Amino acid sequence: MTEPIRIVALAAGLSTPSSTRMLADQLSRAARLELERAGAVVDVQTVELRELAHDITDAMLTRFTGERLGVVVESIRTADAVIAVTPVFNVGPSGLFKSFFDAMDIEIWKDKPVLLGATAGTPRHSLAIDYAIRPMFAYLKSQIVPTSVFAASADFGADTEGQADALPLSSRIRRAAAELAMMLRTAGAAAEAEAQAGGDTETTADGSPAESGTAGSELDAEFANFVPMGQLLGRD
Amino acid sequence: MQFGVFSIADITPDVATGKVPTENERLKSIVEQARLAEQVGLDVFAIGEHHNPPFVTSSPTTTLAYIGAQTERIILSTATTLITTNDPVKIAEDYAMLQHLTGGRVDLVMGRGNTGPVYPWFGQDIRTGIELAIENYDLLRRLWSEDVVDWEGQFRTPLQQFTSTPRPLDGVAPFVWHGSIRSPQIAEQAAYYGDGFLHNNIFWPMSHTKQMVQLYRERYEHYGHGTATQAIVGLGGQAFMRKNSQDAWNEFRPYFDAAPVYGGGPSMEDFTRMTPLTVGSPEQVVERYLTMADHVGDYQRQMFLMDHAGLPAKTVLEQIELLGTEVVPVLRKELDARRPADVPDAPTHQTLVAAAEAERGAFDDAYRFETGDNWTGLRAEDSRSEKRLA
Repeated sequence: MTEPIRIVALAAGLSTPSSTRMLADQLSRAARLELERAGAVVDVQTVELRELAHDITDAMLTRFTGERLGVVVESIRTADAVIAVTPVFNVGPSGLFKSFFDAMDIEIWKDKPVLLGATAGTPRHSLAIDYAIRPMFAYLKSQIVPTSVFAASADFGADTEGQADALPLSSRIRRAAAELAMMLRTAGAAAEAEAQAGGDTETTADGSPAESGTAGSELDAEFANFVPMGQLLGRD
Repeated sequence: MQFGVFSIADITPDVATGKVPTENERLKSIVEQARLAEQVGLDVFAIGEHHNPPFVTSSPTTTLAYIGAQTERIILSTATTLITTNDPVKIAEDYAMLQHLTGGRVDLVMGRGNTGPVYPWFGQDIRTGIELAIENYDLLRRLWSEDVVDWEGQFRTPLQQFTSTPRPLDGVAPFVWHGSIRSPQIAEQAAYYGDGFLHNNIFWPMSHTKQMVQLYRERYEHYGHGTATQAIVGLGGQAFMRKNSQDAWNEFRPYFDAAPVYGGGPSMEDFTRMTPLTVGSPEQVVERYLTMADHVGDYQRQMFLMDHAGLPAKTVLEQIELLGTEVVPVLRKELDARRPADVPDAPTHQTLVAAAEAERGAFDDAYRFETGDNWTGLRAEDSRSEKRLA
């Protein structure tokens, strides 16, 4: 594979330095190692949502994506996977994290492999990912990596290797990264098989053209999202 | 090229004085704006349709007919006509009425409406917005073009032997534009029928506008109505002007900062950079709007939003006057000069009648008790089946 695997890591921490950013970096590093071990070239781009806080608010109020936010949205649209990490506030993701998703088109998350992470001051927030964060990605129809990684402050120093009921942070990170790598390898293999089969995925089973519009080659994908009128009116 | 102003007729407090105009004051000032728009040489006045506060124009044809009676030349249009929640039969009737009473000075911009609760108030569902727009508009066209309509669809009660009255003036329907900001399906719809596409891009960056218009142009050509460059395109615009640029910035900023749509969001600096909003001298507005055609191709209609954000009625009139006297004459001259000869103007009633006569001969406006088609002397159904046989 010559094309690098592109991963965008989102960190929604508010302070600098932030433990959320630390967890995002750890997850990125682990994912990179896993993928590189399998011979892939990996390109990770890390985005601190804090730096886009005003752009995110503007996008919510105007309903259009400004230039700086637009660059990030495009990176996500074309990324092979996203690592999304948020602090847990009031048993949910940070408002900044939620607003970021609220401000953009939901289509770009469909089928996107996403590894979830969260940080908090106390281990008592550990189920926040499963109860308050994962459901949104289920709604967005992302491919969620089965293992999500929660880190409380204490985890960054804990050494509990060998305790079955409390896997230390580093081994949870390794497991999540391995699952993400597996997901990407499976997706890559499927795409390759499809390409070898003749690349005729644009037609339906009976060989007729797929039921989406054909926009000009220079237009972004969102502008192909229509049904030709003849078909819609039942006149073709 | 046509230039015009549109108002969505919102009631917004004046941030400078705290004063809130009454509904009556707003309606009266809108009529005054339309009269002034004609006086200063603008081509189009358009009014929005809303069925919820804080808006005051639930009945556009009432307002437009009243304006039509006080003007002679200006085209009366909409921004937009709700093709989803209005019964297409009522749209066909209302706008044919308006067409007759104003001597054909009518066109429409179709829109879906983006306020969720309005749909159920009118017995519809916003989730079927696109489907409603497609079905209702297809029926609307038939109601205008065919004397007798038999119709069945998904969203309204069937029609058997229905004639929408009055029949369109001179036998030609008002020209229709389809307004859409984000839905490629509506660009496709406009292209399919060879109708106009009005992309009201006032809150959008040119990178988006450009692609949306390009999609419409490509599909217009695909459906054989002409080349992509000949498609009928309109854009939205926004400006605030004073002779001295800095005065414009100082005066408009408090209104911008508190405006219902973008207030509390981006700075005026960012917003003027990313969207067509231009704050400055009339010359700066000219300069900015001369560049639009570089992005979307030569186009036919440029609309401006001037009446918004709680600006005082007097200020709005001053803005319309500046637009008509100092901006539009230059834009008109320059944009008409750069447009190739084979790119048409936007259709008007006169050009549509001329085209119909060229194709089908003179229109006989004798009243048809026996419902029939005055172009061919046959009933509409017969004339269609004859075409099929030929």
